[in-house]
Amino acid sequence: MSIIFRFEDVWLEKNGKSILKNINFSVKRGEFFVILGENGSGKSSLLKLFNRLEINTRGNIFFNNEKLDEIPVKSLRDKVVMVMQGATLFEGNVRRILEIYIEKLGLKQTPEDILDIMSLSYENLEKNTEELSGGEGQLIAIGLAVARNPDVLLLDEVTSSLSITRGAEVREKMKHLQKNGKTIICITHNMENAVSVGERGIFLQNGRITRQGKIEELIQCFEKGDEQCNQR
Amino acid sequence: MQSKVIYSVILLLIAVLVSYFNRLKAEKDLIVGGIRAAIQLILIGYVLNYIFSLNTIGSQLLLLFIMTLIASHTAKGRAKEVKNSGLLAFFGIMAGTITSIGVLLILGIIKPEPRYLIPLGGMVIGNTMNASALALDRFYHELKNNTPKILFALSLGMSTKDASLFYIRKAIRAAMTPIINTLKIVGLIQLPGAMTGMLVAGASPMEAAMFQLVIMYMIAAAVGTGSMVALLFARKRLFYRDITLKL
Repeated sequence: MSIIFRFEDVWLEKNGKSILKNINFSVKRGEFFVILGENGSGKSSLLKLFNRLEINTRGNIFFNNEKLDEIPVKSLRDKVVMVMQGATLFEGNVRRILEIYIEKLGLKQTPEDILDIMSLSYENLEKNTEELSGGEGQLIAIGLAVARNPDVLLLDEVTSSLSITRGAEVREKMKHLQKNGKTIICITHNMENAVSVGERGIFLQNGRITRQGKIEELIQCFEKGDEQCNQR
Repeated sequence: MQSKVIYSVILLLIAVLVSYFNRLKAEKDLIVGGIRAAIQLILIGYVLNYIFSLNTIGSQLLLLFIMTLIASHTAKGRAKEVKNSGLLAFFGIMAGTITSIGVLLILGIIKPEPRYLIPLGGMVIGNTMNASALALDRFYHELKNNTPKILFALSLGMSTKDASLFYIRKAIRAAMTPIINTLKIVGLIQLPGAMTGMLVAGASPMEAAMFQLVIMYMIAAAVGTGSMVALLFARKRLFYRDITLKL
């Protein structure tokens, strides 16, 4: 498998504080890559770097061997799309809001098609986005991201607000997308999820990668505690 | 007239007494405020006297420009969390003033004379200052409270313009609400200031009403244009190019 993303000595600083330090790793095309770590370790900031929602202060990120900051952001986001956890849809009637996303993003799908992607009921179209449960809103957001047909899907704890069955459905969907050549990069707290879907990954502590490799090794590292994890 | 003004100090004293007997502890503020108002109005009276006697476009524009600078500084204090809010408000106030006064001049509704330009300019500047500050503050808080929504829209590939459109609209609507409400009730509860002034000065009620209408429309145009321009510049500052939010 060829390398799709490569991070070389990447740093992210905000308000004089280092959020991410000396980040070096790569993601292979078509793999299911997992980012693990404690709360506040910099996982979400790292994921945002992949499609430039955060801008690294030092180092280089390469996408398909091209420097990320030299790729027009529109064309990057045609290929790399991120879904965050929580309420991320604009406020308003779901159908109207989906029509706006469809129009602004130049999608060919209808609002019904977006709901079909994650097997959601059409009744949701008549609701207001604020009336959706956390899980329903999350699934619609995932549907929109999948509808963009990106090469890389970035997922930040997207199953945390879902029921066990819905979470399993999302993981199945992602595995299906991976089989069709998509690269999935996700953050999860749930170790079982990581083992069930992930192949390789990294473990972050205080903004540094303390371990990278196969998921099983990372889980062992997580279970043994911080000190063992620092032995790279 | 001066002796009448001196007698009117009795009215301020009544307010001070109300504060004293109700233990509001606002006596000092009322007295200081009253003195400040007197000094400011007397000073502006002298300045206007001078500008009116000069009767040149340059002196009128200079005075309006100074008023705009003071208004921008005031707006900066009201939208503290927005970086460079004074400069953003300045662009808004300039745009609102040029548009509204410009249209009135082009259409020949007013003449380029101090008795029109200075009071109308002052009204436009004051109203656009409030609208710009309100719009900037609202826009900033909308962006801050809806950061995940905006980042998700950007991540999907939306432009910063599209991702912030909802919040630009909300901010402009918030800035325009006071003038919209005033348009609906003007004349029903109380007579507006300009109309009152004209009536006191001896104008006919119809003449005063018509001129007040022009003023209301002028303020509506200025507030809309001013808040929109301030927000367009604010968007450039609150987003990092067309890439991400920069709060």
